[in-house]
Amino acid sequence: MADLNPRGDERGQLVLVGAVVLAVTFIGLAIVVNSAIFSENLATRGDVPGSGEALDYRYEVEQGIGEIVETVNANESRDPTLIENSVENISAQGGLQQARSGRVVSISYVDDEDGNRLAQDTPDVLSANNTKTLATSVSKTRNVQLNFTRNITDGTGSFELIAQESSGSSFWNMTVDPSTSGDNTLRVELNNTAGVTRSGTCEFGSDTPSVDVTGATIDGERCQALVRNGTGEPLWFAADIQGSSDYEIRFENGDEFNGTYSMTMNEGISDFDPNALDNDDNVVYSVTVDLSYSTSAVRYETEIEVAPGEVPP
Amino acid sequence: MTGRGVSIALSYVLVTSITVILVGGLIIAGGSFVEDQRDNVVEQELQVIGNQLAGNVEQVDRMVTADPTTTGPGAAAVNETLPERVSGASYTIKMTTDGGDSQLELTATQVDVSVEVALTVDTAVENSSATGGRVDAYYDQAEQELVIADG
Repeated sequence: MADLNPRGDERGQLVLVGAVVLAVTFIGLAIVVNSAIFSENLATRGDVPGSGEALDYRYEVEQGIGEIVETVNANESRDPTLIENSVENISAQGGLQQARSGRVVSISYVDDEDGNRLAQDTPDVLSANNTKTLATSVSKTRNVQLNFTRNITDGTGSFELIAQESSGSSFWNMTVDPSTSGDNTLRVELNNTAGVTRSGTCEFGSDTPSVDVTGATIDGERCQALVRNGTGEPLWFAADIQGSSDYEIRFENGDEFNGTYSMTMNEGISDFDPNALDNDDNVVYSVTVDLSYSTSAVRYETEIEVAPGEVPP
Repeated sequence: MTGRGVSIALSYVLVTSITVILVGGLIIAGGSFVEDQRDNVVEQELQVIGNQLAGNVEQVDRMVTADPTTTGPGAAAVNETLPERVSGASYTIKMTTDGGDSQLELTATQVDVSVEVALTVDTAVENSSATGGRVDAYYDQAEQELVIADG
């Protein structure tokens, strides 16, 4: 075939131009692929450093201050400056520790709230009469503990712990049903002002159970009925009542059961069980602190009220 | 002579036409391939960026819900430096709420790509927007809403 172009050195310009255009196009492709690799890299990154730790630190502070409340309550002198000093100590030590990880934290004491501890620390019959009102005009309760010291099947009927709304019809009811032929049952029922009824049950083997009502355990085993029902709605102590209105706490059929109990209420309750020997109206109910947590990417400032053993509001 | 009966001009036109068709086809196919890849990559990048930012907004929401007080914490904020451009295109981020469902909508400005990322939050969301780069996700205590803004 004859040469298309008699001058051989000028052949193939079209192919050359096309190749150049294609080369440029594929350089663009390389940039796009590079960008894709970068987004893959971004996708593998976790949360912003320090963002999850802010809540971890909040939890640690709550635990630490909770220990302080318990310790101050256990100490007969109840020196009020103890709390403030302890909070400062936690702040200084925690601050130093967190600073090593590039976080600036500080905790400062704001306030503490006095409370009443209602208790029967020596095993005895839980109430002299069938019905015993422990306290009325209660707005907050924490750390409710019940320990049955005599075989619960020895009594007649069931034991009930009731939180009843003072000026309404809402009630929260925990029933301990002894059984002579199988596992005993703990039943929780709730009836709120909206007419909603919820319930849940736990079974347990022990005839002398220790029930941590607010901690939701029976002999250390988790009891879900003291937290939520099957559909996830609250069933904890005085749920739907605490936080919205005052209530009274009472035992029903307590004269058939022996044991010990203790609970802590905020100050201002009235008519609290005059017969219980171990009441103490000089305890700390809660401590409020200001928490500040910051890193280069996270800022968290909040006020925390620590009441160990209190159910959610 | 092997080229008898074929004029040089005709051969030239034929070969040139074939070359133009082949090279043009390659360029068009290559160009649209790169264009498709770019759209895909932009979409993927916006997905990744949207999820990163959604993670930050949800983290702020957790800080707010951890606070049982009615007004929430005094300050809760997480910021992150996100890419300023995706495959060379700038983009905008809008946080919106629609009948209880909140989402982030990321839109690339130079290519027709838009991505929605759902948010799972308990706190109310303020309609707010930001562009690529450093983006703050924070809690507005006065309005009791979650907000995003350029950092």
